Amino acid sequence: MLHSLINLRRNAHDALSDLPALKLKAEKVAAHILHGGHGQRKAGGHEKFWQYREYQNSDRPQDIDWRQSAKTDHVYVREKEQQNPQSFYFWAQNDESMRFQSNIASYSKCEAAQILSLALAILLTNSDERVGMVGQRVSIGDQALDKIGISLLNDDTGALPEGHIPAKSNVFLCGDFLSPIEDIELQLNAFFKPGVRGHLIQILDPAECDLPYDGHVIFENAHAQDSYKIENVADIRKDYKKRIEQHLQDIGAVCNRLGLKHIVHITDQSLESTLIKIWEAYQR
Amino acid sequence: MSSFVFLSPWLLAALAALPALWLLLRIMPPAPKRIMLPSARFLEDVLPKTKTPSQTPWWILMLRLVIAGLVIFALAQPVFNPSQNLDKNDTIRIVFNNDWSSSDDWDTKIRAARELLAQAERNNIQVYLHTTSNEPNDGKPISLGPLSANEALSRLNGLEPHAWPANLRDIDLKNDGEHLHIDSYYFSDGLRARGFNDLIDTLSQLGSVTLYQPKPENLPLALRHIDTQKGNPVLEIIAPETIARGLPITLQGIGKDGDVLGIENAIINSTKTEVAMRLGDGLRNDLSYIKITGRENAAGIYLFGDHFRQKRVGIVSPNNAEDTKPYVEADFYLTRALEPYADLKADTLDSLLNEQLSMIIMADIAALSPSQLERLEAWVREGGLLLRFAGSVMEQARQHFLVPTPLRSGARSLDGALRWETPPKLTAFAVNSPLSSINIGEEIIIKQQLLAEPVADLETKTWAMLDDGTPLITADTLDQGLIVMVHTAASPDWSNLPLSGAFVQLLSRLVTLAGSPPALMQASGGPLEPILVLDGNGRLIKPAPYVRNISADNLNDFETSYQNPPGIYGAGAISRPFNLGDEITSLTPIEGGLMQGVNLVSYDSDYEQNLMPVLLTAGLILLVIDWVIMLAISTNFSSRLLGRSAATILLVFIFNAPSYAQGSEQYKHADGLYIGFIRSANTAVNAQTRAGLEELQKSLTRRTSAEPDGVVALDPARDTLSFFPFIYWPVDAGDKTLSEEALRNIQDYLDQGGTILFDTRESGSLSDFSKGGPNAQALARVTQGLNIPALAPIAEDHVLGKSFYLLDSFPGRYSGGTIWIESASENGRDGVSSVIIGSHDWAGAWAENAGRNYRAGSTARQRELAVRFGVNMMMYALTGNYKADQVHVEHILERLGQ
Repeated sequence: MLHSLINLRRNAHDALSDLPALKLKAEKVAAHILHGGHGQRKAGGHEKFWQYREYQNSDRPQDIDWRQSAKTDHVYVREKEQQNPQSFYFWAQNDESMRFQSNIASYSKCEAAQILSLALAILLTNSDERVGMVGQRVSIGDQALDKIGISLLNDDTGALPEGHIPAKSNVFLCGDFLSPIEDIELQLNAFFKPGVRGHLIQILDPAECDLPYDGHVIFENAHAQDSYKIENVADIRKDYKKRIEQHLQDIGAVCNRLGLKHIVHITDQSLESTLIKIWEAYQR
Repeated sequence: MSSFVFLSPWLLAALAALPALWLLLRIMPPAPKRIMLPSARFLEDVLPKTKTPSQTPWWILMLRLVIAGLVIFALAQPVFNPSQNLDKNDTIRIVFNNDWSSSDDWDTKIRAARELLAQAERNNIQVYLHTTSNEPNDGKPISLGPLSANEALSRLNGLEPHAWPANLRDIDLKNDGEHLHIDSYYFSDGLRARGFNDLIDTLSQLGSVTLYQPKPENLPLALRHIDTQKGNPVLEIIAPETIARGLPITLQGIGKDGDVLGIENAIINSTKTEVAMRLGDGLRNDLSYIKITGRENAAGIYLFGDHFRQKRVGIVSPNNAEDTKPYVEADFYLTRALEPYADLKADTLDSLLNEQLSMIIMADIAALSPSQLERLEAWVREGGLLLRFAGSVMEQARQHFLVPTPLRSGARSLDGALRWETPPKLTAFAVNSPLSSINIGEEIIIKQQLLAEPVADLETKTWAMLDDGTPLITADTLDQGLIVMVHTAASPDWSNLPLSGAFVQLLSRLVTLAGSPPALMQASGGPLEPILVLDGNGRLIKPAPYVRNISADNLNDFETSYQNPPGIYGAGAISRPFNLGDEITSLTPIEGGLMQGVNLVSYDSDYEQNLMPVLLTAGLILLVIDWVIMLAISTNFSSRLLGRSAATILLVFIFNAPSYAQGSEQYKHADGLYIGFIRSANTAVNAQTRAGLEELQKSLTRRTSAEPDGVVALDPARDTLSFFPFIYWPVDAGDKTLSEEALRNIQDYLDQGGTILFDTRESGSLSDFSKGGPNAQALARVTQGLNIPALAPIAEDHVLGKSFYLLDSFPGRYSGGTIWIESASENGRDGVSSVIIGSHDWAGAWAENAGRNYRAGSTARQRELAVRFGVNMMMYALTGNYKADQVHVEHILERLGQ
């Protein structure tokens, strides 16, 4: 009992000490995306100036910009941009399978999920959005980031939680999604209520895509439950690649059906480019 | 009879380890790698349909166990057909033939005996060992025993073949009655030697007899000289009746220095085969012996010694040989009689004395000038044989010089009209004279003769006497020489001697005497000492101390023996060969008429066979099969792979085929004559050069025997230049400096014998590269990194001007410029300059000739000359400087003069 407590403490401590490093990495990745407010490109009730418009009867008089109106014969109303902060939920799979890193990968899948999630959170926080982990409350600012970071590092989550996601929120799911497509579809169906925007970021190891092994190999899955004996890997490589591509297509189809954006990241690629891809997908 | 024995049976105990091996082999194939892969789940869908069992299939295990078993059996040294089953004996007898015929295949015979002894050794059997030929030391064949097998083996290894016939009668069987049953093994040569039947009888009374004999093609042969035809020796090859028919043999005539003078092939089809050994005239005198190749035993070599040598005999004749009247003059008869036996020369005495002759015949010559007489006498004293015939001239001479015995003047006519006695006849030659063996067939009637003065020693000097007691042939020595006088004429005027066969024999016998010292001629000749004798292996060696002299008494009934092996015997400077072949009239084979109980086997027939190599080979083959199977299994029974691996095995086993896959396009250029040119950066130049060279190719094909197959543009950095005897290099102002690779390539080409013609294609002189036009500068730039030998302007008489056409200028599109070539071509290039530099734009001219780009100023003549230069250039590159030889100079001069 005591022992496990001490272990827990130490793990928490480790996670805390890892947090700055993770944040640094995430910031570095996020730096590639332009900083700044996250305007909605329409008039709204926020701080930032949007446009001058001629006064109409429906407008409140106190909204009139007298200085601007004085320059011309018309009376102008100063409109501000509408900025309604949204909620963003993150979930990153963090289990044995995600911690896999082959020798041709630059980092583990898990690391990629953490950095991508946190970098997105940083970008969103910069735009004054509210961020949080799935199953937790969303909040703004650095505190929210810290909470996310600690969760990312600490929580061992395998399957998608059945948390309640409010409508009109955004969700970023990071994981390898290697379970059978039926299970994934079921989970996603349950998870995504109508009105929730979602991004499914599938992170794979290059070894999982290309099977760069040779000879006689016994493959085991992450939990060492099942093993597959292959006499000569080269013989099945082609079939395997076809199969994994099929799986990716299946996931893409499921995402399409649920209105999710499907982004694939391979851990020998640069995180920045994937982040830009995600960001663009989100902006659209 | 066939049986099976392990020489190292204890190794078979390793077979007990096979079950352990079984267990070990079951852990095949090696444990796979375990790899964690999150996406492993998907592998389920792509697993191969045919699942390999995790354990090696039983039949592979069996295969491997068989391999292991084979190796173990092989190491245990199984022997199939161990030479004999000797178990039932405690003593055996080996009779090993070591007479003259045994040296053929000696090793095979020894091996057969050795294997028998090995078997005896294994069974602890005692051995009697006998040989068949008399040993020189005690005059008896070796008889040893009982010996242990090891002892017998060492004695056997010490045996060697002898050069004389076997003597089976003298074998001491040491039959002490103790061993009542002794099996005998007779290692024979396939012939029945003297005493063979008695020996076999005795042996078969004691026990079984196994007779080893050579295969029919290996039976011994004997060679002897039977005749001489046209100066060529005719030999007879004597073979046993059972010899393999159609056996090809080769006779070699060997000279004094051991060089082969003549070779004759023959096919043995009967017991006697005659072969004439053709020898060149000049070679006959050198003949030392004739041998049957591959059968160099004492009877397979026929020694000739001196007696076959053709003597050079001079016939003193005042007139030319052509003037000799046939059937009338003495010269005619002498020539006809001596032709087969001697190298004849008819000339005046003076010129004959200048030759190195061993015999001079003077027929009816009496008067000689004092100087001639002096020289002739000196020649006789040095060892010459002077043969004189009487005649009408001698009859009239008052004094006779250089005759064996004083002569009376005047002839004695024995057949006049007034004579009533019958003329005397020649009946026999003196018994103690060298002529004694001559057989006088018909009557020889002497009608006229010169008489000798009855001096005291006339008797001893007389070699032939008429039946009335008057000498017909007298002889006397003079220092080393011999003078023989025939007291009648060499023409049929005085007697019918020249018409008789005895005349030919007389002369040929005298010819053999020529050059010999007189000792032999004397009646009481001394013994002949051995000079060189043949050993059992047919080598001429210095005689061992036991070889005895041959006394003159039994020269004719000489028989080779251990005391007198065949060889060359002689006394003083004369030598005479004694051949074993002369004694052998026939060879009697063993086969046929053998008594029952005698087991006749062939050498080689049922040798014990060591099965180890066979087993190991089988194991290796199975191992390869196993490997192929494993390969097939591990590659999922893919037939393609199986085929590929089978092909690999074939390749590995049969040959290491070099791969020409790379650059096969280029290798095509090695198959024919291609003209190369270096590709320029300027495409116009390339096009023109190609057109020009193609035109040159056509001209070459049309005009010369050099028929190029094509024109190839070359990039020195990439292409192999070595296929091109000649490369044309049009230099352009835009040419860049060469890459490292290109430089090395070109340098190699030049160093290894290639020729490059640089053409700067600029009018004007190229006397100084640095001051030349832009192209010359480009040339300087291009060749910067090359080791080009010192260059000089082409000499007026350079071979380039006459290698095909005779040219004194080498115009291209431009004329007048200088051509530079290597000032001194290196050795090994046949004088061909590696670099030729000109500025005449030849390719341009050739291209113009093809009807392209006619330009003002180039005449048809000039274009023709340019083509001729091209032809010369190609010939120069191909043939080198042979035209520079003085051989053609006369012809060339003649043509130049026109």
